[in-house]
Amino acid sequence: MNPWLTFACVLVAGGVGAVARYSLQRALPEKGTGIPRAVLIVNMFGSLLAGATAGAMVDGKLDTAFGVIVITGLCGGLTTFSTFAVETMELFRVDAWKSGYLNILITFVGGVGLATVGFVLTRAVL
Amino acid sequence: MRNFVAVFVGGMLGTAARFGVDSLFPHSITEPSWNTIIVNVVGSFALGMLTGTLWIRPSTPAWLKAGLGAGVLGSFTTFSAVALGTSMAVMSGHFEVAIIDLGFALIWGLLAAILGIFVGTKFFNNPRPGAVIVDEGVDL
Repeated sequence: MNPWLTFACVLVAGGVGAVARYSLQRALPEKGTGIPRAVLIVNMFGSLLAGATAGAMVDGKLDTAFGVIVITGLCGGLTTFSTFAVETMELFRVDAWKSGYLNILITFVGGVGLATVGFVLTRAVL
Repeated sequence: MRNFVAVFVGGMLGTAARFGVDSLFPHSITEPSWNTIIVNVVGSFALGMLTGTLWIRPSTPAWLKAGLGAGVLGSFTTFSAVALGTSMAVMSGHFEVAIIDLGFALIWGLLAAILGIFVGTKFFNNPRPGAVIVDEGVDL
């Protein structure tokens, strides 16, 4: 694939991912002291999809350009770290310590776990 | 509608910037993902600062918050790359890479956010000390 076309597709995919994340944030507004659900959901789904796509790219079964569009564009745009960090710090600031720590634990353990599951699954199936 | 357009355009810009940082700091699976660490630390600091400044100004339009927060910074920073990078490093036996990727994201990223919030509220404007921003999470 032409590198400029790949780059353009990565940008559009990033924009689509951002709109999907923003839509879920609007659909699931945060209550203040609970775990921020919208960002947790997109981060878990994006990690699973990124892992699954990387697994499909092993041995060139999935085109590299397509993989970059999904992983760097779609998953990168869909998932976010900045909102996770700021929302977690805000939980600590309003003394919602349990929610804050749980959010960190679930995000990191869940994200790495789901990326691994996605990778292993598509690699085994394809 | 205007908010969604702002998020889409901002998302493309943030993704382009992250793609640029990725190209500047290429790395193999045996090296830590400095590119991802850089975007997440810079982006978390910037978002923290914005929530302490622009966000709490009543005059800031919603589309600007959406475009800059959910759009540019939301897409500039990434979690899937942290998860995937850590997972790949563990699966290939490079545990020291996994510890740096995960540990730096956790410690530096969260510290950058709190530092950004602190700098924003203390040094730029502080209409309500200890302002709670979580209830404005919709626009983040």
